[in-house]
Amino acid sequence: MKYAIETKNLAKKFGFRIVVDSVNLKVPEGSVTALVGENGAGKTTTLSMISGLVRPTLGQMIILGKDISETDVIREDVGVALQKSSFDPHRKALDTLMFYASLKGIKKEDARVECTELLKKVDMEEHAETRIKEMSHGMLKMMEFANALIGDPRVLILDEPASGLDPEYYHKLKELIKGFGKNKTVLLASHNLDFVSEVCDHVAVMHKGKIMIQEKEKKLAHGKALEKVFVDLMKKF
Amino acid sequence: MNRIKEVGIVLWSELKQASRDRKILIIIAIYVILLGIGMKQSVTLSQTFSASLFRVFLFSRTPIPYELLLFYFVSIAALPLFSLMLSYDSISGGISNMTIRNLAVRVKRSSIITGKFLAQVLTNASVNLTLYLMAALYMFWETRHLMLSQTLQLWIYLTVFMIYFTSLGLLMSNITTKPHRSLYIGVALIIGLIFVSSYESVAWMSPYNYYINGFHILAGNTAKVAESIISMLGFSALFFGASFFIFRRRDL
Repeated sequence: MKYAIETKNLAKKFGFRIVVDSVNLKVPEGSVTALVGENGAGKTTTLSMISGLVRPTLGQMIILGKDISETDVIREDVGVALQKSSFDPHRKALDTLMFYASLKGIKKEDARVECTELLKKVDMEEHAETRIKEMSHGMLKMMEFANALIGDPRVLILDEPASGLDPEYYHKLKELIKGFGKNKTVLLASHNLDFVSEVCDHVAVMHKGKIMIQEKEKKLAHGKALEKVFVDLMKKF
Repeated sequence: MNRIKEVGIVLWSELKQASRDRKILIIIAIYVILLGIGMKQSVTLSQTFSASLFRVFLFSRTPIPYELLLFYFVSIAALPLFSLMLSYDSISGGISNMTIRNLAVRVKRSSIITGKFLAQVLTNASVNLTLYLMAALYMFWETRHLMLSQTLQLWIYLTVFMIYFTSLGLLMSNITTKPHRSLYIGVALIIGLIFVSSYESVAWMSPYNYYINGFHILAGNTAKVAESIISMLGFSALFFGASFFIFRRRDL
């Protein structure tokens, strides 16, 4: 099996506290893999290291065959949607996406076409001229998602993409991720196990900074609700 | 995307953001008003005290345009704080409001820090160039002497002095993630550097040891000016290098 994302003994310490401990994660190409775990399990830190925002204390990270262990190595062909919106509050939606498109080397006119299309894709075309500071939480989450899709990357890293979304955007997000098929590899962290069981085909369970189980979703859930399986697992750990 | 293009995009975005940022516009307005008053006072003082000023600079072989020299001293007194105010939150501000994160997942950190630094230097240098050109025109109006070449020479020297404080501000914005702490440490350092310049054995570390050399430009002593420029640019490179080193290793 080919892996789009691979981490080897990935670890992060904040002071004396080990937040991520020897994580060996393997995300198959074309899969939608979820990192699940209780609060403070190390999901966001793991994704932040893979995204290049947090520097690993130890270990190696490989995306699409390229070693990206250093923070100053650009994650080419990777789109990242952060948990908390981090856009300039004064910019308008379309301008924001166009700015990030320019950072990917996309020419202005092409960027305008692509970003307008992306806003349409996430049901936000009527908000193209809305400023970031005027947006609701759900709109910001969809903006983060649209931002991750700029340049049509092969790998997507999504941190809690479904949290706080209203039913309409929630449904839209699920449909979009399902629609990727085998064209994209998605690694996401989520608390929402219904969302995970609906969109993900692989699940990695994190607990106290370690990956305890990494399985296909169907094999792990075994016909039961993922939530029940997860609660049972947590009792065992 | 190549490095120069990346730096260019960050630089352009920072300049656009600065032109919309109310805080930056207020800081620039206060600086312009202060220097505008300084400009007027320099002309008045030089007309009143030209005889005593002449005695101060008696060793100079070339005639000194005192009004310009006084304006230079006024601007250089306000410049450290102005430079710090423009640069203290360039990184720590982006970390605290998280706007730097979306940038850092797309652009090399080295390009981010270089783009931000160049944007501050350009903003600061343009404001000062405008003020110096206005000063030259005002002095021409008052004295009928056009001092354009000397004005530009002093502006170049002032720019080097400004680069020192901008790189220091950048370093301060890197050592902490809280903008107000960057500002406090920066102000404390500016005050500290004034004291450092008064002790002969360590005075070389302080830019205040070199700022007086600006008048050597007007007096034609190029060796002294070159020595000061090299020292200040050396320290600026050191501060920028340290900022770069910290920023590459920082968790965002």
